[in-house]
Amino acid sequence: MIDPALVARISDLELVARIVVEGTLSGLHRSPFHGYDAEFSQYRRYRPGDDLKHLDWKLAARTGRLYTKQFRETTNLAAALVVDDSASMGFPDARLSKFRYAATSAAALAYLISSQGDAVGLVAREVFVGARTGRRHLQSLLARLSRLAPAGAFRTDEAIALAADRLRGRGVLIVLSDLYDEEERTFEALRRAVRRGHEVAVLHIVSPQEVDFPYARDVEFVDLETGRRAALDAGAARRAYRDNVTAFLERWRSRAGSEGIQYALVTTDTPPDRALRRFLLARA
Amino acid sequence: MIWLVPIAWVGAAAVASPILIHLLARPRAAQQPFPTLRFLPVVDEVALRRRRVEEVPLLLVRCAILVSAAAAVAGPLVLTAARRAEWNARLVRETVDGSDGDIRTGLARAAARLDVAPPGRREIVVRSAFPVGSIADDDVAAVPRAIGLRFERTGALPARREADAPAVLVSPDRLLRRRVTLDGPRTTVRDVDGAPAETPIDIVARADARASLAAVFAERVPAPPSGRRARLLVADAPTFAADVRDAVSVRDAWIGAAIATIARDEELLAVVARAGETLSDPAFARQPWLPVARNRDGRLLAAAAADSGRRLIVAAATPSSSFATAVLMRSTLDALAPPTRAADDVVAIGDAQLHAWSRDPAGAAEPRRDTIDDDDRRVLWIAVIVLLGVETWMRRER
Repeated sequence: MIDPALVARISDLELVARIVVEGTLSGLHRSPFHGYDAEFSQYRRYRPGDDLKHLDWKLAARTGRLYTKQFRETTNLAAALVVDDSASMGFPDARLSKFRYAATSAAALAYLISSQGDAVGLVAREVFVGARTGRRHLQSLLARLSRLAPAGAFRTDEAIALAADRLRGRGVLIVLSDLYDEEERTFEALRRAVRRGHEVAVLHIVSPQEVDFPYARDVEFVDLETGRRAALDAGAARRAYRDNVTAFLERWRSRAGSEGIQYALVTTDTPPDRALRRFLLARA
Repeated sequence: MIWLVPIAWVGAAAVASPILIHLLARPRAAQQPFPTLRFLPVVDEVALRRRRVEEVPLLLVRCAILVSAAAAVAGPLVLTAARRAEWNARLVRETVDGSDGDIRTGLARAAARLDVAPPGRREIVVRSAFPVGSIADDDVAAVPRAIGLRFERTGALPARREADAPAVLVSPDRLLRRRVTLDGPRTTVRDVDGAPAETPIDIVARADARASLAAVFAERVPAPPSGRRARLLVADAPTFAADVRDAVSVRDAWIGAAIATIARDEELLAVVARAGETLSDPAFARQPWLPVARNRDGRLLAAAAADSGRRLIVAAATPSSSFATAVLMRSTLDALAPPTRAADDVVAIGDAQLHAWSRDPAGAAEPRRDTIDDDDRRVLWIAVIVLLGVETWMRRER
């Protein structure tokens, strides 16, 4: 496993991506990203919105049930990585921040997708990189990614909508965010992306401090995005905070599951290769 | 445990200061950047800013520092059995050299020095030949009871000593003080000074009796103690009969002793034995009158009693001009004064008296701060230093 602190110390994002991907792919023999062409992969139950041309009519005639054929995509996959680079992602500090973790994961995914010969793009707060193939594009994307820094607010819903719109045909949309933006809007954007036929995955990145709330005595909390302040007895507020966070995470998990969105909660103390491997295995 | 400077506990009131500081100091909330405030419970700013005691352990340590310091200044002294035994084993002794005869001053100085001595049993040893008059009951009583006394007879008695001689009256209203020097076989009495005095005797007689009285005082009469007075009634006085009825029974011992002294005066008895006057009033044969002298016929010539003014009253049958009257005056005046000690040679105070004055020292008394040689404040000062270290560490760690 790769220590997150070690990954954080490497500034070359491409190198980081390669290290993470090498750790991730050991034991994985096939691409975890499924397309609609090329080699047949498996059947799955038809869902409204699936292209009718992929229905297996013969199977429907024999069984009376609708199944969609899935194929292992080879060259025609397009993926968009939506990376939340809002100020809240800068927590807990610059070197081991959620953003750094998200950027590392995004770089690894881009490297992985690109190395399969597929197109990959990037959407961030003020960045849009269209999905393309090729090593030069990958290097350009990683360079853009490495220049990002957490600041200001991030409209996750708009970024998701932009990525979903620009993806040609049906693609894969991977969101790496702490999802602290307006919850309903974000979820609605994700649902629309699913309705448009994209495969949507969410890497919900949080730090252990946000889950455990290891503070005590009087603390004045400063919102990283709005600058708003709240002073309170952290020890006394811990239980209520944890209850709220647990409810928030559970809400996202259940809602994502109900809409066919792949959801993975990742804390920044998890080695990124392990988190990525788990994420990819869940897709395989 | 006792406190050598209990007033220092007033300093413990300073413990209020850290409590006030903890109450008044506004809570300093550490700033913590955080991704979102949405999960934090609603903040009650008033509750956050209300005055409350913060950091109770730190407050307790600070209070303990002040209390320990006050206790240290108050001078704690644990009265352990071992410490008491140590004090009781210590004997602080002062020696008074009375070879110059001045034991009185030496005793007072020794007692004062022992008063500021370290805790222990205290004793004064007096070394002297102890001539009579060198120390008296009052001198011994002035020494605190806890201080033991021991008398060691050393050296020889002084060859020469001076003492006050009994004062004499040289006239009815003038006193003469005298000083006697005992120098081996030779005794010298010299007049020191004179002073006005109250006339100790009233003569109820004709005017010519005054000459007899002056003659008696010219021979010097021992001065009687204050309050001893006499009244001599001479038969030819105009108020004799009335004054006789003023007599009452004897109630004062000195009056009884004086009457006995007059009745034993051999010179008086010899003179009245030649006189023929008689106290014919039958009142003299009854109480309260007591016979004093009888004439050549064995009849009553002089009688004595007390009067309502608690005076000795003597009635004489002889006239004012009689020699017997003058002798009775002198005898009455002599009887007013207590018997004088015979002219003394220099003698020592007896061993029995010295033994009676001797006593063992009492146990060590409760110590005072200015006499204590060691107390237990060191432990408390060490505690203060340790607590200061703890307080510094707690302040830095918070």
